[in-house]
Amino acid sequence: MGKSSKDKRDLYYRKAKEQGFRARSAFKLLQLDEQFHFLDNVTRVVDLCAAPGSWSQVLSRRLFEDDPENAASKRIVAVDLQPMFPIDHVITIQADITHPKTLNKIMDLFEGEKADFVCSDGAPDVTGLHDLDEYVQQQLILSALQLTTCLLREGGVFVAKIFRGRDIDMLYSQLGYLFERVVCAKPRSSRGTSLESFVVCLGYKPPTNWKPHLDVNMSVEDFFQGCEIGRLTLDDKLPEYHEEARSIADFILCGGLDSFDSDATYHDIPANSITLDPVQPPTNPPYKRALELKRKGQLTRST
Amino acid sequence: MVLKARELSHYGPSICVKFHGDYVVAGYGVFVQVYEVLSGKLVNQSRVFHNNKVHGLCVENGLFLAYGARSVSVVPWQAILSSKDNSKLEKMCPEWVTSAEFSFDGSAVYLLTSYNKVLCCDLELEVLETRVVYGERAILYSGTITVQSAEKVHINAGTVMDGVFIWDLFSEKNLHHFTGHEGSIFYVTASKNGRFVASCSDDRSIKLWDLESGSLLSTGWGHTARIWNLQFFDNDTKLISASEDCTCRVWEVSQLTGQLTQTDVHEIHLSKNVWGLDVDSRRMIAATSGNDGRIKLTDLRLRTRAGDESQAFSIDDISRCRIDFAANEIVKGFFWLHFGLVVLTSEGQVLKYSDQNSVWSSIFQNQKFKSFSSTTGVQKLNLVVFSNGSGDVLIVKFSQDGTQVLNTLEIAVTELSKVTTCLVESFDGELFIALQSPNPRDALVCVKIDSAPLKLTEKYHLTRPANFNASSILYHDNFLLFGSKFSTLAIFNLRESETSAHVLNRLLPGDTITSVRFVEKSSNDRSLFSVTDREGFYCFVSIDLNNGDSDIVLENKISKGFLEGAFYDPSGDYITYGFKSNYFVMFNETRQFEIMSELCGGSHRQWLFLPNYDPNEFVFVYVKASRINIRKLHSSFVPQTLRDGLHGREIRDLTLRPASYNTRTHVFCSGAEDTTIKLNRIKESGEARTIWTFRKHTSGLQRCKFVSDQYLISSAAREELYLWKLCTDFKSNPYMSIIAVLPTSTKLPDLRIMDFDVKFIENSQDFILVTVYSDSAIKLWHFEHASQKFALIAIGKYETCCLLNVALIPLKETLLLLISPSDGYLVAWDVTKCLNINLRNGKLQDWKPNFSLMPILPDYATRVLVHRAGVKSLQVKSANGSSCLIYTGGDDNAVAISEFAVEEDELSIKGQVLSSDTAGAASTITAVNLLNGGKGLITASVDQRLRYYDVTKNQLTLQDVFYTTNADTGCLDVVSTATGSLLLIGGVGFSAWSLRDVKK
Repeated sequence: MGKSSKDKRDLYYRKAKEQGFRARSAFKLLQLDEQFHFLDNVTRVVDLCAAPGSWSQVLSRRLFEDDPENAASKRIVAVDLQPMFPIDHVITIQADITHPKTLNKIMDLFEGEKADFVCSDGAPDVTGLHDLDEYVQQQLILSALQLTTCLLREGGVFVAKIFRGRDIDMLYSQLGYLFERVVCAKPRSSRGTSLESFVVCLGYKPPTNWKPHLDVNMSVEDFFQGCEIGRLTLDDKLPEYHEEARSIADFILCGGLDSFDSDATYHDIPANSITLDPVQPPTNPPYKRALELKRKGQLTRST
Repeated sequence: MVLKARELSHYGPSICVKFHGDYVVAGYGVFVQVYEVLSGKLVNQSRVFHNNKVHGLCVENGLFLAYGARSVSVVPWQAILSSKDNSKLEKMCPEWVTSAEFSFDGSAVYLLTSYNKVLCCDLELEVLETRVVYGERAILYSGTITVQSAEKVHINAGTVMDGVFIWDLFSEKNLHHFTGHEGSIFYVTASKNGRFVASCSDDRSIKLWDLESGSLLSTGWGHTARIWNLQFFDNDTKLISASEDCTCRVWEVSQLTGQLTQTDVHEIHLSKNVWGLDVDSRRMIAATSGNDGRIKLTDLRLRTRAGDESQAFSIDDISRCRIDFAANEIVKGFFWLHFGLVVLTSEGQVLKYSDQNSVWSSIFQNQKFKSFSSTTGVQKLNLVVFSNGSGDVLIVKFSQDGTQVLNTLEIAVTELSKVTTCLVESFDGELFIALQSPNPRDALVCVKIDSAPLKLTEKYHLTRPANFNASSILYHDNFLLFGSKFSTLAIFNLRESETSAHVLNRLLPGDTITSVRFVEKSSNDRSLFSVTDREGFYCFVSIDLNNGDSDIVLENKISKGFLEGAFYDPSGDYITYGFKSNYFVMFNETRQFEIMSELCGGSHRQWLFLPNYDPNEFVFVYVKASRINIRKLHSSFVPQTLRDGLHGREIRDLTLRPASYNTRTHVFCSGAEDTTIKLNRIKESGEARTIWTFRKHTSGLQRCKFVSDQYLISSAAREELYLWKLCTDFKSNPYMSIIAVLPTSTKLPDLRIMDFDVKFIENSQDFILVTVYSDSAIKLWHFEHASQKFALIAIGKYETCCLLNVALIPLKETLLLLISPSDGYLVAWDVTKCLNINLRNGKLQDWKPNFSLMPILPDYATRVLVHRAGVKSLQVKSANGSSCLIYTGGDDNAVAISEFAVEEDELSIKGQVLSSDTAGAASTITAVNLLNGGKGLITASVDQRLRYYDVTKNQLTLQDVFYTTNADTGCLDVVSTATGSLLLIGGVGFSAWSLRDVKK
């Protein structure tokens, strides 16, 4: 698909370029916030798996441009394993979200105060093995969640990208133990044909007898031991197959019916309009060398 | 009453496959399938897990170990061979199991988890100890365990972000950290001899590492997509790789330098992803399994197994058999008989090659055939036919073993100024030779010859039709059929050879017809022929030979390359052959796999492809670099597939023909993300088989639906909508072809046709069609059967959003148009007046479009908010004459029943929601379907569950929930059977279920 046909097929792609966002996903956070107002009156926010940075851009606009008061005390920290281009008012850290050092760094930047809001729009590359892809995505969410439990204030909000697959109701159930309300929200800017949605967790309320503790030698499963969130407990004997706790979260469509439909084709592009270049050019894929070889005709069938 | 649901069959991703003695063992969804390798017989299918797919397995010391996701199980091997259900032994691991192996003495089991941790368990899966490299936390995409001895166990761990770790299980120390790859590591394995480690990653390369020094030995490039599996075989001298590019490749591993050299490429699976891979080094066969649900066996010695598969002879080689050649004498033509090859040279010398004793001999020389000669023959009659430019024809008949020339006959056809084409056919001991001159006014001269003894019995002068240049010939039942350039077929009645031919013009989109074959005769006396053209198209044409009346019942195109011919093999598979770039390729079109390929240099050289002795043996003879090459294909010593799958990508829609096809057999079509539409057959036992794979749509397939027993409509992106006609007149197979194409709004259409519906006009094959688009457009069309054309009759629009579903619902004297956009509403129009149509008791009366101005749909009559997001699926049931019930499933996880009714005054339409279950699933409900005459409703959702509701009181009462192995569950269809219903579910893979109401 060329740039201009993508403009027509995907209105949010075009809007993102017009408004200087690095990716169309910026609208997803904007529409989620429109529904839940979780970015009103927040001071310290963390954006996990932040690259290329469109959610950080939204956070920067909402916290600083829309509401310039108390700018001095406000902090936005964006974390990713990949390097990111700088964004106004955002402190970017290139680090692993599962590492205790990352937590310490963020807590230093917050001067010991806890965060009001943590979000993650991260997703792994899909392999095509649906069960593996779903598992890896849930591990990513749980990795984000374990860091979140260490730095979110009680009553704070956690938002993460999910794919509504086979075991999503197990995740809802687990999150239900840590938050007052768990909602599955789908912004209108997220395609109806995609399984993507966002889990919005409101009112953080950790169990009183549980102290989260990040340790480099602990898996996510180890981390949540002792915190009754309905996950398997580590035992000497592998348990027999049993159905695990599941619950269906409320579904909310965000962005209102008057906002644009990401699945619709729009024709209202002026005939003489210039096709804008993407704000953030695509990054180097790992298979760049293979593409070059293919282009040169060196990956052929003949041996 | 309760619904009894039983899964009959499943065709879907198979992630692992392994040889075990004379068995092939494959993970297939929640099952393990065991096949006999030589016969291909399914020995047993045993359920090992409740819900998780089997990702890996091993068999040792009479025990079977399976793992998949967080499930793991140790089962006696005998129980796998004999018991249908072993799922009670399933255990749950807290983390994803990446790999598992038995310990060296078989008394323990090692489970490698995705957190690079090994749980050492006893055979009851009690964790004895957990081993891990302290301070090193990695998340794995892949990993294997190499058990060298009781003391030496290595973990080969492929991480998501951080390359490959090789660590020692007992010392819990990292031995190596390989960081040479880019991206996630998708497979890593060690050779048995402990010298090498091979790994592959998102960078699409394979790297071979020295296990001792840790140095990178070589990098193998070749795959054009991600690589998922690697196995060393043949005493670690070779490596085989399987990839998303649907191929597996064999690499030579240099024992001296560790250099990887690609030696073979096998195209083995349908679009996207080969997961499972193993090699039986003793038999030299590879087993692969993939996303398409196919379990494939590939002979790695296809070209060398018998030893005579590939032979090549230069003139110098032949002259060593004491045959004299003139300077510059070259091979001009050849033909393959059962004893071997007969060759004609540029000096008119005739040679024979005995395949049995590998000896060349010269038979005779005939100066007349020095130049402009052609060589052909008839295998069944053991004779060859030489002809030249002046109309001389020489027939040479051999003894069965080829040692003697039994008979020769020379004929001179003097009527033609010049002969450029000689075509030969035979029937029942009679030989037909057709000669054609370049002058279009000349007749086509055909001689009939009795083969024993060789004697000319008849001569025909057939009048050539205009623009006719014969390229292929077929004799059938006193008719001669000639395929020609311009895709023309001429049919001559030999009983009345003076009358002109019946000519079928432009049978196919390509140019030269390369083959014509008779298939069968129907009960109503029509003959079915298979026709191919060089551009890759093929068709089946039903012809009344007496009057030339014809009907194309199927037209299709092979995926790539030039088509030289096609035929049904003895098992009923349609086999095509032709050229693909530099290769000659033989392909099983029915089951969609390559049978063999030969790097011959392409189609522009002299070549010949014929059966050899047995109907499953073939020979391909060609000249390359001045050598005669003889490539034989013997019948395969193992089955080529153990299980055929369906689509390699997500199935987007499924549709069952309302009427059954045969007793307890149905046909259904499936349309998938790979853009193909498949016509399949399914028995009520669940056994399914694809018959045709159509490559007509080019992108974004949305829907396919039978609108009657005869017609099917499919729609896709780029405003593609095709009307297909199903033909069930023939025994060989059902056939299907496009009879009309919907006009597009622009030359470069970019809209998706999301859905459509049809209402037939009473007592007519004409119908009204409605289509809805991704830009919120609604279009109404009239299909006229006589002209086979669609005419646009009205246009409309709803807000600005994507329209997902549409239905045309007749209510008394009103025609209701109902749509479901992505905003969650159901929106209704009364289109009766606007179209100026007449309905009587809900039946559309005789009607033809007659407007001076194209009608535009008025504002909608009413709309009801039913869902909080897009409606994914919609079913209609007429309640009584004036109202209808609408069953919907949505992206909001909800399922609902709504009612739309025409008021008494026939002037207004009212709609309301009767019942709604907002937690109808944990994720998107993609399909809803009524069962049991509308008493039950079944829903399918992406959480891989089927839910069955009682809807008798127009309320949703959940009765039962069933799990389906098909991920991305996206569509279902139901048909009634004698005992209940047959339900088909599509997603990544496909399942058939039997549904029956039983008394409590």
